[in-house]
Amino acid sequence: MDNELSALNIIFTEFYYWVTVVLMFLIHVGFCMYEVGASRYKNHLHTLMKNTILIPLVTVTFFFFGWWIYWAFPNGPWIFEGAGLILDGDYGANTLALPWDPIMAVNMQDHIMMVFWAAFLLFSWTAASIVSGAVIERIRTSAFGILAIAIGSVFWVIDASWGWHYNGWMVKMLGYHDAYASGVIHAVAGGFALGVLVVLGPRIGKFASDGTPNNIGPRNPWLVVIGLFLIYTGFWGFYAACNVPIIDINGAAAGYGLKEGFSLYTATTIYLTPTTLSGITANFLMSLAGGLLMGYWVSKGDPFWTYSSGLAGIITASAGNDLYHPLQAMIIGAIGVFIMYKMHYWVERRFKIDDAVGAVAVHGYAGVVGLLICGFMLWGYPSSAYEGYAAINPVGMAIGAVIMFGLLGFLPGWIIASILNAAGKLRIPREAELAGLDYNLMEASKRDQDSHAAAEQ
Amino acid sequence: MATIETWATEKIAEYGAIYPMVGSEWVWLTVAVVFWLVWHFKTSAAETEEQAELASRGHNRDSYKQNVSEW
Repeated sequence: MDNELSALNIIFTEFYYWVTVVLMFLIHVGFCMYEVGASRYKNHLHTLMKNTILIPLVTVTFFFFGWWIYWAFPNGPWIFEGAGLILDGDYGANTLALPWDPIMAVNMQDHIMMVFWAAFLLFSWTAASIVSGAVIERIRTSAFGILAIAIGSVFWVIDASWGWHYNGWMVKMLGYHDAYASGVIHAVAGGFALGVLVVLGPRIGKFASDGTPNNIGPRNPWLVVIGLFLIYTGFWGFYAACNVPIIDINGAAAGYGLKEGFSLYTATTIYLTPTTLSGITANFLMSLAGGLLMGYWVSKGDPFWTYSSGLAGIITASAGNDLYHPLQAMIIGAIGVFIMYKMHYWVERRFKIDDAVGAVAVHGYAGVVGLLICGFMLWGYPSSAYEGYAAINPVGMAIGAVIMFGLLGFLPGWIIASILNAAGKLRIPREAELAGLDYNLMEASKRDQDSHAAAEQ
Repeated sequence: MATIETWATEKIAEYGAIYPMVGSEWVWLTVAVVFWLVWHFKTSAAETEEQAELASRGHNRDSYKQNVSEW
């Protein structure tokens, strides 16, 4: 900050992430509208509050320990070089991300830490919100709060540290590449949701006595539509937030090891590999388009699935959208949507899983498919500019998909839900589910109306 | 309370944390963590109580319709 150019660069970066946070807030507005629109009339307000309360819970716990986890675990304890935790170091090391560190606040020596923290926090909200939609109308809010903290402030953060940190062991050893989070947010959250759903069980009436699934469609399609459009919009901010907006790729921050004095200022991915906002913008839109087209086709024009498929198209292409051609992004998005749609109904029929909003499919299956395709499409690309990193490859990406969806997603979701269930704290009573979770609130409103009418007479 | 007593100094370039009571972070963290944990216990208990009461009233799937207000 000792000259204008340096100050401009720093303040621009600070402002850039600040804007991404504001844009990403729309994702959560969208999720709230979407969930309420998908729920039955007698559950609207409870559904809204369940999703809303994850905001403060994930925020405070991400401040307490989530951010520290991201910086503490890139080595993957006991996995890479036996190094275990990184206990100290320069900027970005975990000691700076502890909640009592002076840099985790307004500090004249730092202009980036907390706005970067906020960008990651909004990713955390998204991860928790993905799970929220799947479990509506029968989970206890208090149980969901614990699950939201687990996925939002612990498990997705571990996978980000492993596979999204520029120094993560999965990037180094597996050649894992996931530029816009097909796996590190979507697959892990989808897998977590599936693990919870297995224990939670379906809503009353979802399956007929002979096991045939009933379609419980959205009760307010307009809220669902606006919600999904807002999620698309917020996804722009998400894409931007996954980038470093401007950095000298041969400078100290990137350390590419090119000849001394060579400089190239460019946008990079989170791995500090070069990309352009121009390119990812085209890929975002083309994968959205491919998803929408396939969704409309395969669902025979079902509005709910068509809108969700736009999202799934982007999610499928996201792992490699820093490098794909826009036409590749479009086709990959379409392929992901076809597979996730078929998977959703197969799993529903075969395992009697009631995924109320298709979250496991849109985020989980599409994310996994995106990782697998990326392994082939980007086979041989360096996963990093640093020396000694594995190149991107199908096997590494497949292992990465298993880690994201299974190890850090499904397994912890299933375990925590099982513990809550054993304690009788996971699911609402059957009678309360039949009555509707908003019964008492609706009763109070009716009483108010009746007393008003009585006063009039 | 004040960490900074003047902005009119060249030392501003050397300032680090400028929030009040620098050094008391552990106290604030302890209070915040206790508040967070207590919140879970209290709201969970309230939810259990509310749903037990609702369940005990024996409503059926259409009972809510009598509570649909017109305005």
